[in-house]
Amino acid sequence: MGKRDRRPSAQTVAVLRALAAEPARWRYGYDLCTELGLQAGSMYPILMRLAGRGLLETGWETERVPGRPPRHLYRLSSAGIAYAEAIPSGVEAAPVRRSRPQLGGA
Amino acid sequence: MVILLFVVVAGALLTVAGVRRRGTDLPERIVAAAVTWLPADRRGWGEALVAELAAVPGRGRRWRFAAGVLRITLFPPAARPGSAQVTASVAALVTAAATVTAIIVLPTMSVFVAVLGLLVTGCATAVASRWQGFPVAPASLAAGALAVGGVLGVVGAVLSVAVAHPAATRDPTHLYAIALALLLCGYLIGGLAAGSRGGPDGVGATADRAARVGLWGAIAGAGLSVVVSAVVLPLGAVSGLVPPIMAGAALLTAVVVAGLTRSRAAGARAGLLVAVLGAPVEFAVAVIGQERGSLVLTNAYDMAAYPRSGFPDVASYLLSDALGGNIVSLAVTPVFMYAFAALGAAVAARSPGWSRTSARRRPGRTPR
Repeated sequence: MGKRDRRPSAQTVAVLRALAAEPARWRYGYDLCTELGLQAGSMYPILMRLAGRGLLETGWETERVPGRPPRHLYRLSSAGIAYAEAIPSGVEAAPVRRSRPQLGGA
Repeated sequence: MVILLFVVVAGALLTVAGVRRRGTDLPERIVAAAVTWLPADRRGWGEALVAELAAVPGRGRRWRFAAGVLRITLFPPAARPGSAQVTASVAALVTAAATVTAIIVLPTMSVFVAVLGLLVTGCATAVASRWQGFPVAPASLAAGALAVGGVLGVVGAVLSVAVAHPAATRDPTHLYAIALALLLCGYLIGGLAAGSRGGPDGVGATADRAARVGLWGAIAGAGLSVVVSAVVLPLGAVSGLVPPIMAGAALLTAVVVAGLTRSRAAGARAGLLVAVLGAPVEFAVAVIGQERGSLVLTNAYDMAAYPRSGFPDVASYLLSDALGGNIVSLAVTPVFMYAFAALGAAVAARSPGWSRTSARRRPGRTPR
């Protein structure tokens, strides 16, 4: 990532590892919040930064669900997968405070 | 504290901004309004946040999600990583130095300086997080200059009084000091947010003409109000003239903007913005005018109350009273100005003469 590459925060590492666990699967932002116990105010800036660095692919739900608008979806790009794999296993991720069954995932 | 203040300002703006959709709960309305204040390069994320909230169950979770969105709106990931941290560190150091200086030199101002410094540190950090670099739209620059200039004017006026008449700024409960700091930060946020809302042109990615006209109208109205006050007050007029001058400017601005845009909401917003941009400068002009004016007891009430007031001199007694009155005025001015502006805008937007003229000039526009 060059000179601007910085050591990811523990929360960012947690998000990267959660996404890397099933790299092909599209995830909802709020599901990641509940899975990792992060508030939206922490999660979305992380997603914004990862997307800005090309580590995250984003898209919109194509399947219509009555009563609500299409949701935004996220998964690691190939660069993101490589980046996540390059994080040494010794680097600590933010502790997962709460784990919930997935409410859905595209 | 800045986030709390932002929530209060955002809540007030919610009603002003006309985000009134039926079938939506308050978190949804907050999120819908908040994402419109995201920087232009984050606008797509705003849509994602609105859509995500629709899938968040439970009142508590929805409120927490809305609070998170407010945090993102206020402190989005900075375009230049590290700039927000540097700004926050520098501002915190300046605040600490200013507070220590105030404790030593002007003890009556120490609480005010400390609280205002902390709040401004938060505001500066938010600005650094949202800063997208130059060029800045002229309207944003003018609104920002008025907002910052007004706050500096108030601080300068209050410090001037504190230096010359320390007893006038004595505030054992610290109530007025904290209130003034909170109010100034609110005005600063309001002024800066008004100029930064929307897309790269500073007023709306979809060329929101009503917002652009409203912002320029408010800048002109606030400028007019300040200039008239600055000319009138040194002529010996009483500071009681300030509210009517501002009310006139707000009303005029609201009528003109509502007439030009045929939007009642745009007119009312512009009138309110006149108060947001103009009131702090008016405060400074009024206080300096009073300080340099004739500080003698002129009415029976003051003549009777002064000996029991505990103030060491008449000037301190009168200036303390003037500061308190101006702080209260700073708190209530936007409410009254908005009422004036809404009334004027409602009349102007419905005026057939305005509508016909506007319709001829802009055949493609539809009234709101």
